[in-house]
Amino acid sequence: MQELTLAEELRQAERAVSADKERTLAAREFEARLEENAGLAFRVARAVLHNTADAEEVAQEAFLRAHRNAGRLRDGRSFRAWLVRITFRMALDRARAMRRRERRETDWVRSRPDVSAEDAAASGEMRRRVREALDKLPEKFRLALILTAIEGHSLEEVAEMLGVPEGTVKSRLHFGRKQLAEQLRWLAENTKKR
Amino acid sequence: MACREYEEALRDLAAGPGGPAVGGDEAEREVRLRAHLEACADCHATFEYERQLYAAMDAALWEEVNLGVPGSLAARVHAAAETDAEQARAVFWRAPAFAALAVLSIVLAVFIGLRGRHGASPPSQTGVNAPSIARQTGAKQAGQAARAAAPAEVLGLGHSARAARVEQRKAAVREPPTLEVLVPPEERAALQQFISRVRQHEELGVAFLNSVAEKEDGPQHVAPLEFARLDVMPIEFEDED
Repeated sequence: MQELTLAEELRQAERAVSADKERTLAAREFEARLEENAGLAFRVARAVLHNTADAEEVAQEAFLRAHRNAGRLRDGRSFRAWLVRITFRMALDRARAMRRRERRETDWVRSRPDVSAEDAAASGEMRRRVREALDKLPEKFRLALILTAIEGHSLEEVAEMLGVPEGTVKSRLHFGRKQLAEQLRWLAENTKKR
Repeated sequence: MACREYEEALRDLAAGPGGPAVGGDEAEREVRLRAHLEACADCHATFEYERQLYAAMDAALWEEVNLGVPGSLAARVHAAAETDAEQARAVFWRAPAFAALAVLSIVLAVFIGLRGRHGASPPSQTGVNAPSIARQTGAKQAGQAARAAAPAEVLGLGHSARAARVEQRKAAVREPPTLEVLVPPEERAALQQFISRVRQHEELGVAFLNSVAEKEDGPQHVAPLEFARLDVMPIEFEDED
């Protein structure tokens, strides 16, 4: 009887140790993923939303959502690609909601505030125009441009994140850049006319 | 103003690789275009403008997407993950409690249902001399007498078994304050004895012995109650209908 109890106690201890190990591993995995990918999620969200606070919120939600469901991924490397897609989608949704809200509000206010002096400064003005032009690009071109512009991403990495061949990324970049330039030209001409 | 025929090619060149496949030797076309740029001042100026536009655009885009990541992001994610885990734990503990409550409710409902169903169960016909069960639950004496006497009444009057069951259930639910039992005169003494015995043994189930009717709807005849044929046995409920 005592032996049985002892064996049972040993089994319980083993179970507790293995559960502890699992928890530690999961925590380490979480930390590694956070360190490696949170910045990327934030930058993708920021490039869509153009607002740090909203981008932080979206990045946080997207990261947790991706992490929660990471068990379903066959390949651990695809976490990054998945996170990018979730973040991009969530950021687009939020941007649309923000635009709708803005439209409702401007129905009341009617006039938009003038561009500030800071915004009018050469580099600021260009960035503002790029932001506006970027928002008008088709989603697949926009994401390719954002991911390639984010520091340190090669064409190969972007292709892996998007799950498309490198040639496709190259082509999306080409047409995305052309459309972006077109938008900038149009914006510049319109500003001149005003 | 660039030459019209070279305008699109100039923009494609400025936009970088990955442009549309026009056919023919791409390298050869680029060599031809660059030679034209050397010779045509307008096209050269347009191409320079395009190059500068793309350079400025790339720089602005780079600045736009490579902003510093806020230091608060990791802390936010940790806090949200902790909240998530707490909610998951709460659900984990709450779920079994709800499940247990649901199971308990079902068991209770089934128990009450069975009691209602079998509490005043009429004689069933599962075979020759198969016992039918009138359950003793320690209820009021009137109730006991009703349950004990009811089969005699019903059988004596020759009701159909199904109709008898319905009547029995109704009677069990209604629990009449005063009891009227129709008993053939030759069985009255035995029934009286029987009821007094049952009252002494409230913890026991009571089985009536009855023979199977040939036709379910036909009149049923039972032999007069005799204590020699009264068995005390464990209660076994059988599925009805």
